[in-house]
Amino acid sequence: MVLRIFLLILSIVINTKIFADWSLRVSPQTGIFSFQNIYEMKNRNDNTYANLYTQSLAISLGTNFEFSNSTHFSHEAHLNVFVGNASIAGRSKNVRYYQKGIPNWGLLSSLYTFYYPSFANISGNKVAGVAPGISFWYVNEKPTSPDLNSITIKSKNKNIRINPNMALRYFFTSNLQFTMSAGYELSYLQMGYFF
Amino acid sequence: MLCHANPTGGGPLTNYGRAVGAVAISDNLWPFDKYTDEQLAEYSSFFKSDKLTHGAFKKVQPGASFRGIYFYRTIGKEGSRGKLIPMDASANLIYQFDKASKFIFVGSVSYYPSSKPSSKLANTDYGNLVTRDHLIVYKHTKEIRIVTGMTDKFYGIKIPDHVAFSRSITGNSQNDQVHGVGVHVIEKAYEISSQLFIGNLFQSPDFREKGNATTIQYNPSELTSIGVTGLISQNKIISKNAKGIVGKLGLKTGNALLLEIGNVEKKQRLINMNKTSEMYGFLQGFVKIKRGLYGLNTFEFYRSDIKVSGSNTIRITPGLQYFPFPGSELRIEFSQSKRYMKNMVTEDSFDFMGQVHLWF
Repeated sequence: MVLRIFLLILSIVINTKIFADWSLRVSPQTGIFSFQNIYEMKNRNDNTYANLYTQSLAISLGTNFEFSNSTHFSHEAHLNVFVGNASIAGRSKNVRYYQKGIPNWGLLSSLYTFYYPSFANISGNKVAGVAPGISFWYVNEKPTSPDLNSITIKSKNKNIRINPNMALRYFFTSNLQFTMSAGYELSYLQMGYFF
Repeated sequence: MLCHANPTGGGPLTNYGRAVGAVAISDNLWPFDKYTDEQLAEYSSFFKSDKLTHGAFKKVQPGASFRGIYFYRTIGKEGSRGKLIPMDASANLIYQFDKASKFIFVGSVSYYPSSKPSSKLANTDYGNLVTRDHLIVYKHTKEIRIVTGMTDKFYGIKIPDHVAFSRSITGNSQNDQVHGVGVHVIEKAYEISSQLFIGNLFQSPDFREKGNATTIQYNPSELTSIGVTGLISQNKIISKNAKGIVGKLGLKTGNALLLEIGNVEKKQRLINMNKTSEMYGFLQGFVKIKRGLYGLNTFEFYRSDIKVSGSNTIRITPGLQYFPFPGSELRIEFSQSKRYMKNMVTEDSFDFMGQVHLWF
């Protein structure tokens, strides 16, 4: 059922002309990305605080919506769901905290404006492009401290993060693309296929 | 035609390489915008004009190069600060013994500002003047060349970034050149280079690495190659066995992807320690934004010992590279390092690098 709804939406949006010069095309995409989250640890014994850092690797699956009305620029919105795995560590005075294998999941969205120095016709024939962008992501992960009752952990960064990115994209064929995106606290490698 | 006098790449540029740089890679800002491609190619040589090269000078291709870097490490951390480092100033010479370029001498002398070589295992007898290239290239046929002398090892993809894991942990960093004999074969469909080396003879004998480095690449198309690379070496302190996969993908209009994934096994020979097995990955993309200006992203991975679940580092480096005039390069990069160590996770660290490279 979900698949049918997805295909229905896909069939509506593919090749939809939003208005005269603008075109929209969509692509499913998958990738791997890494990100960091910051937590605060409070040691109740001495009321000291320290930062804890999680490092995560996650696999994402999503859709890319590309809007274009010129020969060199296209604007994109990515929507992705990810699942991953984090490790967290930190130290407050004499108390050291470490936990690995924390499952997490979340939503990732990025907005980019790609510049294609060569051809950028919406129907294809792009070669490579470069894009500044901004990414938003929500992550749900719950570090616990079963063995250290004197410590409380709360997220310092909040769960929703916003950070800048720079992406390079390569088209292996007129449809199959590979994107490398590097950014503050979030980076990813992604493959996508434009219908 | 080769861009570098050393057929495996790296080291002094030939006049052809300089001309390619001037015409196909560099921007042509004022006053070079009035030059034709032929004039730019001529200007790119050391003498700036073919008219100045007569007699013996026709066989001589001198050159000079300077590379400086502004390096700001661990931005935002206590005690962090920027540092201007004159990384390298070198003079080089290519001499053709005969008209057909059967025999070529390639040599360089560099002023190296630190007395500490980059490799921890090298000795510390370096002065501030070092030579990284002095070799004779014998062209047996158009496809086969014999290289004798001091060069980089014939391992992996040669890149100027000597702190990249693919160069530093495999023993192919800034000052890791060796004396040896190698053969380089290039055909349309493949490229093979193999070298036997006896170490850096300027080092004391205990530090000299002896071994073999070989790279075999298959070229399915003009701009694509995929291959394997390997290195076996040992000195009195350590033995190394590195192997990897290399790939180069050139796309139209100056865009490229470079890939190297490998493993290095190391065994300390003076102390009784288990063999370590390290893993690295390198992926670098270039997109030509306009003439002379490139966007680049570098993704690197390093795992210190894959057998004992050692530390993992991911380094991501977006940047811009600009060649404003023939013989000049500006590069800015912003590097982010993520570390997942055994029983420890650290905060991301950020470094900024601004680089100027001039060559004459």
